[in-house]
Amino acid sequence: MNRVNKLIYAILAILIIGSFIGVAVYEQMLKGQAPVAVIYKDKQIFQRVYLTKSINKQINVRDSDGHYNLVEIKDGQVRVKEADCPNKLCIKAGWLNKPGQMAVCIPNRVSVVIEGAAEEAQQPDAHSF
Amino acid sequence: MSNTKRLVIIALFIALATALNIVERFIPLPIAIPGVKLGLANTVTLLAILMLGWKDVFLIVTLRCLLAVLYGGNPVSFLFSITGGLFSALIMVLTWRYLGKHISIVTISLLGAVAHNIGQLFVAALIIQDFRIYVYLPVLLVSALITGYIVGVVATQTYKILLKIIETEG
Repeated sequence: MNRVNKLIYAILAILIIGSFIGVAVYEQMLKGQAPVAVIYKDKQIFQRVYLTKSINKQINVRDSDGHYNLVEIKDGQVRVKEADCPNKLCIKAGWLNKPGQMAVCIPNRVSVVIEGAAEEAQQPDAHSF
Repeated sequence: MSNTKRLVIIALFIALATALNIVERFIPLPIAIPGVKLGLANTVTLLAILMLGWKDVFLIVTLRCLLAVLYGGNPVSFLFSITGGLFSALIMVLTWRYLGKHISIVTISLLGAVAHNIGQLFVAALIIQDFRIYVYLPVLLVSALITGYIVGVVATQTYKILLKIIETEG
């Protein structure tokens, strides 16, 4: 194998290791904060729910066209349980429980992100906007 | 290569890529990570780069993405496959053109696969206006290496056979 080939492999290796480190650092930054499941619809916050063990609920994110994503929150975890999008990638993302994790539904423009909240962690329930 | 022959090869490549696209949907993957795909149709893109000109490559990629919509795709999957496909084709065309003498077909395929995933994440990030979606980058890059390697090996072997056929047929 010649030099250029090796150089490209080295660049690819750096890119991959770098991306792992980047995500690890990002998750580390959010660590220790209270996990909040934030549901975005059309780029705007649809609902924020503090992920505590006691909260069990299902949130239906539905738009005027009738498209929907059913978000389930249970045992401090969140997932997209059902959706009418074609590829079901949001469902495939499975249960999320660590800050930084994300499930995205591009067709319906819905995303569920676990964010970290420094304050008001003891707040018992959701407040919606 | 005569014009007729070129035309036939382009048509065959588009048909082959479309067929691979459809077949791929029925192959279950061992991991359930959003966005991870085998990318078998990239074998065809790679072969087109080796055997035809860059214009033909972009034509083949564009037409195969359009055809995939007719065979059970949707507007969003089209947007992803066309941007990912064209960006990855661009990277592979450029590396083949300027570094082709120095690097292997497998390396070109790896670069194409990585470009494909980075491009798709970029489109996704633009649509939802949230670049945190790049948390998926590490897993997607690793899957790109695996699928890119397989595609590269398949393309290398197929290319050898195709070259023989073209030489003997004149």
